[in-house]
Amino acid sequence: MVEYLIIPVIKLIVIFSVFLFIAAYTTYMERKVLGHMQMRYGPMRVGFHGLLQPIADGIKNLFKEDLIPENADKTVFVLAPAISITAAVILLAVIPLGPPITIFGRTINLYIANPSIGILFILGFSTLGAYGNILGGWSSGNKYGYMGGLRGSAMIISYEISMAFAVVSIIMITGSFSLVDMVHAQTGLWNVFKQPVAFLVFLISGIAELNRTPFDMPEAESELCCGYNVEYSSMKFALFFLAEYIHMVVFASLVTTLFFGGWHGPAFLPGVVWFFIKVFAVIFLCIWVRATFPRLRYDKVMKLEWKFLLPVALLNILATGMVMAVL
Amino acid sequence: MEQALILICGIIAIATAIMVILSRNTVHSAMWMVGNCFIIAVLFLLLRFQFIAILQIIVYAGAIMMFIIYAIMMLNLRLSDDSADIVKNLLNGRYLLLALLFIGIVILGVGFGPMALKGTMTDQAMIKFGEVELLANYIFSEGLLPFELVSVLLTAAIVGAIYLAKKN
Amino acid sequence: MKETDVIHVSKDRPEKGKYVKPLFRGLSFIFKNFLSKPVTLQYPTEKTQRSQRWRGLHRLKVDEKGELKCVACGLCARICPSVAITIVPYEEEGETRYPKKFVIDELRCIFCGFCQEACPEGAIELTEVYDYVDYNRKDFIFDIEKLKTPERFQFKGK
Repeated sequence: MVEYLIIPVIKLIVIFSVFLFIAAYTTYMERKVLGHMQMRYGPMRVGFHGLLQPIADGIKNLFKEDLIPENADKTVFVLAPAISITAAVILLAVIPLGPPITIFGRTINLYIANPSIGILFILGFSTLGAYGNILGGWSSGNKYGYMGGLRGSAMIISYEISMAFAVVSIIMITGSFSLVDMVHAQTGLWNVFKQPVAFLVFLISGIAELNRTPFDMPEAESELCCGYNVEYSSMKFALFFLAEYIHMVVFASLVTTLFFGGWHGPAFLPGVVWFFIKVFAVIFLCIWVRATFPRLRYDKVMKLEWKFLLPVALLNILATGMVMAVL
Repeated sequence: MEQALILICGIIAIATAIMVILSRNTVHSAMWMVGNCFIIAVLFLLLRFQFIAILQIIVYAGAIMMFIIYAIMMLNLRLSDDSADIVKNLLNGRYLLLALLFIGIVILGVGFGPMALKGTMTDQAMIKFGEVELLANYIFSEGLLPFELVSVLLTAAIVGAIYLAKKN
Repeated sequence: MKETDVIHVSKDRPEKGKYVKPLFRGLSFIFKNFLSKPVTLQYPTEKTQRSQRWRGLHRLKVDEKGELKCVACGLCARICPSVAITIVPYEEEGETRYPKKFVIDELRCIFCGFCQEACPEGAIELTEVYDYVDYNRKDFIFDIEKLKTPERFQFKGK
């Protein structure tokens, strides 16, 4: 009873609320870091140095008017943010946060589930999250939203492939699909040193899948005035926003797990702390990239994927296989 | 318990499949189809095939349906009026009878199939070897010839598609 | 078109085919920005230094006895291009003239500073207060009391 019901439920609630909190404060971190990178302050008013800004934003979004445009396909319009947030939150289930800890004489694993197909689970459901964007754009009855959705689906179709191939080389050297096994395999040397090419490919295609700035085709502000979520307001918009940031946190924890050794680190800090330090470092990297690079043209984005990342990832798999066969 | 779940999932799968045909809106059809892929993944899970289930989600619900939705949006397909006739015909009775028969057969198949059919991939074997290993061993030993033939066929299809596209 | 006809806007633009080095140059530049102090000011609490010649809200100067320097000659009202100044003079026998009413409509005023230049007594000047805000239009019609101390209308946040 305790083993199968109570502990998982407590873990579920704790991990869910922690990640929701982190996702909310990632918005704060993004605004603050982006501000300082552009020599501004970022939010400063609500609370000490704007620390309560995410809460103020949430309350503001709750009390806004919830509009459904007349042209919209109403069922799909309501369904799209729900798909987006569900597919984002479900990814949290398989991320290993740290080594097992002992509380009240019980060993508790710091993940909700450790399926033997953990990494495939993440690849599959992160693609499903894109349905939210696509259907949201399509159902708005707005040409900008439509274009945003169209571009979103094209991005997912393209960048999913190189991302999966980058993961395949990690699977090859680990010999398992389980994320926990992958962390255990990096006790000595992190994968980022063993597989630098896969790391680069994964990082670039991951940022592209997150629709973040150098590749933010579906919501290009200057071309599509926010793209797929242009007609959304109130909590529906907030759900899209939250889903985007949960995806970002999940991506950061995935990079940490696959390439930066998960919870491994010098022993003076517990594993969970190392994990979150690395996660925030990766999020910082994402924001840094966003602050630096302008948006690529749409055809160049496609060219980058099909003519550069995909062949590089394939060659990397080939090279990995050869090295593994020789050793 | 498991049998009941399989039956329920089978019925939902059939219902979504019918909705794919009956939806007047092409994007709605595609969405029902995504749901259908999903339910089939759940059926695989109930048969303890995690790997195949997640492949079903990645390949069918993720990639292929994404392609189909992309194509639908690219071609900007509107509402079709023909589907109204299908509904009318169904209510006429002829197709309804056929559909009910089909549903009955599929429910029987889905519900009682797993009991009758048990190959080398039993629960015990899966726990012992791991399903991915089992599957890989099967594909790369006994099923090697069909596997290679299928890959040749797919390559031929890709080359043919490129040829057709180049002509334009 | 000859090569000499082309104007190169940026001299240090990388040659064609060089992608990686500029990317890292950009990243390092942005990181330097991140470490440097922001150049923006926190507006209501911090303000930029106004110029000496800035033309903001008006002030009616007072002399050392605490009386208005203004003699209600009406030159400022005459010269005002937007007719924002209304003066009602008051004069007793043998006493100095002073304005009984001196009203400036700050919404009409275009802050040209002509009144300051026209005044023979140097009784009116334009201060550095530039951010007076209020809710009602009638609050922008300044009488003598308000015009004596415009500094207190400076916006300081809540």
